[in-house]
Amino acid sequence: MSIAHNENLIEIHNVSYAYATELVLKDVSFVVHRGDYLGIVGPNGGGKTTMLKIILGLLTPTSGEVRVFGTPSNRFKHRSALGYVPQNVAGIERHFPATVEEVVAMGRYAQVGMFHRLKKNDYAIIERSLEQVGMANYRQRLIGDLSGGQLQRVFIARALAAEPEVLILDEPTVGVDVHHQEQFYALLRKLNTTLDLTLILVSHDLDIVAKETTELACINQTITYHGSPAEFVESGLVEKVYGPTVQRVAHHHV
Amino acid sequence: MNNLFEYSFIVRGFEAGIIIAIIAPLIGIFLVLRRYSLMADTLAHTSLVGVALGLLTGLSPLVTAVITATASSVIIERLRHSKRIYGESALALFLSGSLAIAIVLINLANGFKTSLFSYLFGSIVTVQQSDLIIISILGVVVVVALLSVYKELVYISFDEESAQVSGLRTRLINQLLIILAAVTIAIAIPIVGILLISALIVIPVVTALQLKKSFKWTLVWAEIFSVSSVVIGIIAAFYLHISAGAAIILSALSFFIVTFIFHNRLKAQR
Repeated sequence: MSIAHNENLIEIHNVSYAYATELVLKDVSFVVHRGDYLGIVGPNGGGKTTMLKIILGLLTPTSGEVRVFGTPSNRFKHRSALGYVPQNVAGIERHFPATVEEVVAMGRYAQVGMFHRLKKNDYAIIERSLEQVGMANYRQRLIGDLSGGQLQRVFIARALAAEPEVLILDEPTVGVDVHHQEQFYALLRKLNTTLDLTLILVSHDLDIVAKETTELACINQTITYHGSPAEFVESGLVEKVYGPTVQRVAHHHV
Repeated sequence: MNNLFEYSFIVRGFEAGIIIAIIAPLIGIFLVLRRYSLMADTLAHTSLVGVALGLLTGLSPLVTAVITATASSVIIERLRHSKRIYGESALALFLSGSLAIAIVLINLANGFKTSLFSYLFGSIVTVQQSDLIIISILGVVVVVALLSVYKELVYISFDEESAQVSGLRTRLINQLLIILAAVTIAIAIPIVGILLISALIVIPVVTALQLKKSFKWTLVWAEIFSVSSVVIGIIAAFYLHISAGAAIILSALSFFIVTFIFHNRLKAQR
């Protein structure tokens, strides 16, 4: 059973999205409540990332409506309320000359605004974010010298530095080894329970999502399931969505 | 040996050169990190159209170069953003296209070969008093504009998508960066020359990147390499009677080679 949270933070109503003529999402509706830990799963090409980009405001749906904190997404101005943690390795230049602290500081930039410098208060928030992810001792390290798992913590700290209410993570543990994955998901649980941060975790990894999250949405063009993760696994829908040869071998660590 | 500061043109050359040397890495660090180095070369070639127009019409080639480079930068960024052609193809179109236009203009005029030569390779004698005023004013404008969006540019260069999601106005800031790059390149032409300006923008930054420092210190080192190269280059140009642009780029290149070798040595020792 999921916890009853009443406040709707993100509402998706009959959203469809097409790239040129190819329909990627069709009539998708779901709601994210405050305090939820929602896992979005589904096969590759099923529309998970597109859904994420729509929530983040990077894509505009072809039809349907997205409301963020009650405001239609295209008019939603308080962007920092949605913290975003991008995919780990992809797209990030590891040779970029930046320290851990410089990267986490980026999380404050939108709040501080153009023409302004970071103030004492901003540095206190940066410090706190680093402590929350256990990376405070690495602040002067260059990001190129970090492991995949450490870099991912830095990205979470960057998102936390914007003081978000929802944290959205896109395949966060791709390229992170199993041991560090466990630490990583423990950190997410802590953020969800102790800070009451709402989490949306997009992953192809069904076992992890079923184990960690309190809500699960399976997207394969349409929403094929939305509810408790345990019931999803029991329902036998897994094979229906992913096909009978579903790859669940990778996480059978003894 | 003559004292080089006895000559007013050389003092002007130094003043203009140091202004350019300070701005070049500020622009360069963002162009290099965003894999946009070719942009500098392209904008330099579009400036050549302006220089040719200026020499043809009798207007200040510096002013006309600033205009053509800035106008091209806006169109290139639009084309790139429209995604109707690849970003790199847009650069290639402008690079060769503007060179062709400039050559035709030069053919038509057929009379300014000597001054054109100094615009191509840079010269310490090209900088007029009026040029120095324009370079100073535009130099200050570029520095102030860059510093006011500096932190946003750092974020966008590192992770454009996250920067956009966080609420930064990435498109506006990208456009601003390209316009400032165009202005910088155009005002650098009298000293460094069209064919060599992109090297001054890129090489000191690439040298500083070898040192593996934080963003802030990478920029500081790039400034040190850039200003030193320009000062050494101008002095060498004066005493050895060689092109200023070439002398500047050769000193920048020497810094790169020394840094590259020493840094790898140090790494090997550890």
